[in-house]
Amino acid sequence: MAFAIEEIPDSDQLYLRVHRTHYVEDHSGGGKRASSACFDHNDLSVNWAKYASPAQTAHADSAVVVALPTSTYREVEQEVVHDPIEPYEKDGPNQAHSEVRGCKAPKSRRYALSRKAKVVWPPHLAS
Amino acid sequence: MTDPENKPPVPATVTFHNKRNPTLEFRTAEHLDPREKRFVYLSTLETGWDGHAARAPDSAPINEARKLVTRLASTRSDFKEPAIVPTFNGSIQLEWHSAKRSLEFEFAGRTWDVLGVDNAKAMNPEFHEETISVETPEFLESFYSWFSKDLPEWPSQ
Repeated sequence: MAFAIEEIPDSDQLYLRVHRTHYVEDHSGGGKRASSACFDHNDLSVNWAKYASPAQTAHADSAVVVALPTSTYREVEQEVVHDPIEPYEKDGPNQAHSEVRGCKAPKSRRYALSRKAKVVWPPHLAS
Repeated sequence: MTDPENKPPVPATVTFHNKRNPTLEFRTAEHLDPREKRFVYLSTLETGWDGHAARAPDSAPINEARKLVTRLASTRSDFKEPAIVPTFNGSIQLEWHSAKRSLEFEFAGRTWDVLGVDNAKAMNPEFHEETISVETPEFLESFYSWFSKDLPEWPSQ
């Protein structure tokens, strides 16, 4: 049976895995941050927190997983769509899979998203 | 076990075999500084490096990024190494972040897309964006001055 497609509430968190090449030095506090480059997809794949944990979102090559509420994307003219992956599809099954659709330009839009993103995995780096 | 005293010397250069850049020659890892190691690493990424469909970085953005960073490093006493990251579409982005400001250069063909962010008002950061030709490195350098010296005015042509 196919996964039902649901409406994602504004307050729900969306998890985005950050590839290790996109976790960069931030000289403001001697720490690191997710690069704005990791938001640069017109169809950005994320996991809906209702069906996946941050740990389930991470891949072997992920430095961190970051979270943003759905409303933050919608405030910058992005469409957030629940897009579950069925068991017979590539990378399936993943009931949490969702997409943030829309133009991520100008660069300031991607930067603003990266600035608001909170690290939620791994636990020792979670903010 | 290998006797370190009798290890053969590491050659200073090796020819690097890569599907996209078959004739590139690099100094061996022991002889590279961290920045050059990063560029070499980026040149080895292949399509799908992100686990999905990200394009491999092209040689043009890698070369232009190397030129720009080398210039800044040689002309600026206040130079700090940038983060050098691949983009999903095969380009390269340079980033600097301090407490007050951020500066990003993203290669876009024959131009750099430049973003400056003034975080002085944390709740309401000020964004500046420009598209600058790769042929005007001195102008690109002025953005680094804005970032590193906290200059009040965003550079304009």
